[in-house]
Amino acid sequence: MSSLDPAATSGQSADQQAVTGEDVAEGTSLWGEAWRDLRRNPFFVVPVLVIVVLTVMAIWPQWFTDMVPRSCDLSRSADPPQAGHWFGFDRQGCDLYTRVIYSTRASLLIGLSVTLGAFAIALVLGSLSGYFGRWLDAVLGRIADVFFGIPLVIGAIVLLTAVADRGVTEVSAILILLAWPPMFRLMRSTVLSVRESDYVQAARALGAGNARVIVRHVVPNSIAPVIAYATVFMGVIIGAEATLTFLGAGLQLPALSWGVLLSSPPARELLNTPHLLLFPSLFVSLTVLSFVLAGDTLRDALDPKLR
Amino acid sequence: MSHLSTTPDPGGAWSLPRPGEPVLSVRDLHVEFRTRRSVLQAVRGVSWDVAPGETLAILGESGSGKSVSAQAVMGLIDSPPGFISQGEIHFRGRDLLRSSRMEQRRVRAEGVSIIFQDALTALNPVFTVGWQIAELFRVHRGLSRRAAYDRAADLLERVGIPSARQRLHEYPHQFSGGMRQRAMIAMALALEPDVLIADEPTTALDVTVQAQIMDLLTDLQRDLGMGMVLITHDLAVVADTADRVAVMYAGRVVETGPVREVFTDPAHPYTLGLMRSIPPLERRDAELDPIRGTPPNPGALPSGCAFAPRCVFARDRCRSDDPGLEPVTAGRASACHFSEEVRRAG
Amino acid sequence: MGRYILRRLLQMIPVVIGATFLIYAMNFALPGDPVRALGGERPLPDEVQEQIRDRYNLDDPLLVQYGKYMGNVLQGDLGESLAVRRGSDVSDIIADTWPVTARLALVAFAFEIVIGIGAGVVAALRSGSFLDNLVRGSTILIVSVPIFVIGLVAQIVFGLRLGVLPVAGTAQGWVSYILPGFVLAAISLAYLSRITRNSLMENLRADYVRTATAKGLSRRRVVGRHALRNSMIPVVTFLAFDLGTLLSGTIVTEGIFNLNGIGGVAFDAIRQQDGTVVVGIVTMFVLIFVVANLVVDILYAVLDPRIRYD
Repeated sequence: MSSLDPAATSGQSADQQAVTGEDVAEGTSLWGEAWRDLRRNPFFVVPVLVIVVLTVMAIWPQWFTDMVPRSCDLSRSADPPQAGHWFGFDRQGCDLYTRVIYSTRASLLIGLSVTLGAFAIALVLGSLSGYFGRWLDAVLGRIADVFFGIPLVIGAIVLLTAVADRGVTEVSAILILLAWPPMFRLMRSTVLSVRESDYVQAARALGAGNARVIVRHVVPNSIAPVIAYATVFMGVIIGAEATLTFLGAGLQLPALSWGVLLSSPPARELLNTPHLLLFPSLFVSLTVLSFVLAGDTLRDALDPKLR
Repeated sequence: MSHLSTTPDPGGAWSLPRPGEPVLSVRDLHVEFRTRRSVLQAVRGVSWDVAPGETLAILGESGSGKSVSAQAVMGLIDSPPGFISQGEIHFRGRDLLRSSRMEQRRVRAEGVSIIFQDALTALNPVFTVGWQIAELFRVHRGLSRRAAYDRAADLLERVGIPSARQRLHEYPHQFSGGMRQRAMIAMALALEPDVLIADEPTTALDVTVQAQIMDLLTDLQRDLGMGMVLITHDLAVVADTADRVAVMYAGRVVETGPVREVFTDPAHPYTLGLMRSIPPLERRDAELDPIRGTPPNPGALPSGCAFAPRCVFARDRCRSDDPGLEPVTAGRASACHFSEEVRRAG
Repeated sequence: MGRYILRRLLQMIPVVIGATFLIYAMNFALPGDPVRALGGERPLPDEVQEQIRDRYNLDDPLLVQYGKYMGNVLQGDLGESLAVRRGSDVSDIIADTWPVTARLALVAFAFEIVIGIGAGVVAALRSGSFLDNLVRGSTILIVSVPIFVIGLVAQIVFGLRLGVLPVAGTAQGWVSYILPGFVLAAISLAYLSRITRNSLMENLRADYVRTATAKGLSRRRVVGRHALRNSMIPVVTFLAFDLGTLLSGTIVTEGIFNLNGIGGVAFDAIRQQDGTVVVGIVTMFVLIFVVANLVVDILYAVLDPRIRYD
């Protein structure tokens, strides 16, 4: 449900974020210098470590728990945390810790696939639109406007309620469909400013073909802010999935995600069983926070203006 | 918003200077920029002064700290990271650095004003040119909107902007580069300051426009009897317009004196190097002799004389013993152990 | 200026058509039998299904269906509810419920602007201070917590544990809106304060701010008149974009706080799979969002004279 406006996280217009005037050779040193800064910045290192742990958890959940998520005992429904069951039990009487661990996979998978999907669209269409301009830019811009005109969660609700079986694939596909325009706009505007730079003009004057100029010069020099934004974006999508599922428009049982774990209990019941809200939302928030922080520090480190 | 008194009180704290006596003087100014990792000494003990009607040029390449002392006068050094660690700035006998904020603001409003290199960024993009000039009259003189705009229009006319009354209501981006700089000058002169600081006023302009702007500045200076501090890297502009020059290198004044004498008879190897790097008009084929090497990193200055690594006159003494500014002849000074030798070479 | 507005209005038309068509197509034209799914948990009787098929022209080609639907929408007819309030006109439902949503949005907007811009300005002016770090830290935390979690926690802590604020319904007038209004605004105000802070800090370093200082103006005037005015340009852009977040937020917030507004109806309609209501409300939201962005475009041109109208 968080904002997806690239300018929103920074307060700068996308054009201002653009990496300008740096050629490919310096582009690598841009990343090198960013890395030198980041490696000593706890606000980058800690979130990245959290993300690594979460990734391992998503791939091999069995390393983190001996129990299986579907061995449940209804007589222990919503029992509070206790020895051996740190997080207590959910409403079906399943061990909540195990359920939370096993939910990591779907939540991260949706975040990752939506981010990769939107990134791919932004990369290709953004480069073409920014580089060639004219009618192509106009057409792509209008198409992006159409999707931009639909607020993400609202649009996703409508589209998803129309889908009968909502699994990771369906939810991801619809989120990609709705969430790509801001990233596309960011890519387009950085490409636009890079295209005007002297080294691109020089490469073109020396007779390099469009394809070569785009692949060798334009994309490597415009991608940095988009990658930083994509990191924040991934956090936002994971939060959006939880919200959608909470509303009843996301994943459905028996699929497991943090949103699914949070989707049923109304507040009045939660008063007596706060662990049902606390632990899953702690995981969602920690994950989103990690991506937002990592992306934020990455963007600052990659912004030559802040050096 | 307090309304300051509109005229400086003669005989009070702001006694009028006698002719020839400096109206603004900077004494032993030190400015440093502190970052987490290092301290950059931008200005290391700079002194200069300017008298009514006089033009002092501060000449130096970028990074020499030539603009920093002017920024210190105008209170424009962002702190942090910048700090004035030592020195005094006297305006009409009062040390600005030890005055109240109110007093400092009053001096900036009425005593000293500044124009910048790039008028496009120096003017506020969201207000009309007229509004920005009128603001001075409204805030500092308490004039009504209409009266303030009238005065603004008069000023624009005076700096040579055609159909000034219409152009009052245009925004800076609607002006051409030269017109913008004229508007900036109008703003700086609005309250008839005693000193005008011009920080690279023509660098961003076309060559033809440059001359017009410099002419305008010298005309206005003569009419108003202002002192002018001209900060520039352009030797020709200095030769054309300035009375005295202070040559800066690595945060220090290395040579100062009347322009004609300094340029024809340099007493510092850096000044000499500058003179040898311009092609003489009469001999187009003359071989140029640029200064070797690059200016030092202000975060890691060499010990001794900062110019020594690039200097053809340098001896062992220069690498250990940092020369101070010593008199050469009347009204001239140079910061070189071997200034006599330099003069003989020049 | 007039021509600029006209041009923006014309540009808006394909966006509205594209967005509403997308929503319509996804909802009514999917493979399978959409009408059967419309009833949700309680399947519709055969004759009702037949009526719906007829009413929504479901046997026509998709474009024709959409055209007829939009024709009705333009005449204020958004169809009938199939589950939430079976038989009521969707437009009547919206007419009944909009005042609650409007009040909620107003309270949220007030929170957002006062706290968001206020905190951002303070942080920028005291950059690097404890206060600045507090603002930056707390905003990034708020941004990371999904809005429904913020809502549920606020409800539990302030409403049920402390019992200081009403947690559900609108029986107590404006006081009832404080908690949901704050929850709805929370994430937006966090973003807004970050944008305000960054934008103001950038402008404080700008050359024209140095000019204003050199003019001998007071710090208050330099910041308040010169820097702040320029800093508002990205802030206003964000506010328009953010309306989308607020509209989506009403669905969650009104659902959690049991407010009988448009969002609350949408919340119920989603859970009961009441397609006509969902599509009707969302179509309206999209229209509001697009119009708000148009208004901001125009406002933007007023704020920033460098924007060309032609």
